[in-house]
Amino acid sequence: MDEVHPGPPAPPHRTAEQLAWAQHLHGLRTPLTVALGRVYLMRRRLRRGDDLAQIDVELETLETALMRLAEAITRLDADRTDF
Amino acid sequence: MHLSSLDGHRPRILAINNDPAVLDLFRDLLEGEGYQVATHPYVDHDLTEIKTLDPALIVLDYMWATEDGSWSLLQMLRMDPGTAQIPIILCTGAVHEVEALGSHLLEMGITVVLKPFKIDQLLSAIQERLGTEQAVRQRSTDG
Repeated sequence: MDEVHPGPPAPPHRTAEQLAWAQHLHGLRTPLTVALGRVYLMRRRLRRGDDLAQIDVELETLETALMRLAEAITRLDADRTDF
Repeated sequence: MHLSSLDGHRPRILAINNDPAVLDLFRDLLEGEGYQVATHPYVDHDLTEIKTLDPALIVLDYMWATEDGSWSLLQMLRMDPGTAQIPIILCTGAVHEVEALGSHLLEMGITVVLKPFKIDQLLSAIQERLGTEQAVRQRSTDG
């Protein structure tokens, strides 16, 4: 890879409704990704026999991510317009 | 920009995102895998720091098409000669946009990992890209 690329093509145009939906999905996927990652890290710590205090920190971060996920679901429910 | 390690022997990965929880996750995760990790909050489009850091790989995580800034950053990274060769792993939930772009992203050295992902998926993608880059550099040196 020696050449400079012209840059990625522009993303497809999206309507305001599609953008709003994408934001909702982003609000769901991001904390879910963080939660999955924290579970992975917690498992790694358990296998290594890490201190319980460190695992407790992981649990706290996991809880925060799950709370964000719950808030995103609440927003989604509040914004629904189809019924 | 936060650089968590100055060890010059381990591959350096730059994680870019506007969400501190995501950056913290990438830092904890990748440091545990033995990488140097730098994080960037993605507040501006000045590539100077990124060039100075000279990462072996960039993990870019953002909400595609709803943040114009993140899209233009991706374009800048690919169009600037100082960063064009750095492999990028794009973490995104924008399934439809990725499908619409087909193989363009891969052709430009951008690997896509769709969110939410299993951590093993991300780590495999990183290992694969770093392994590929190392092989390319080795061939270049040998040739």
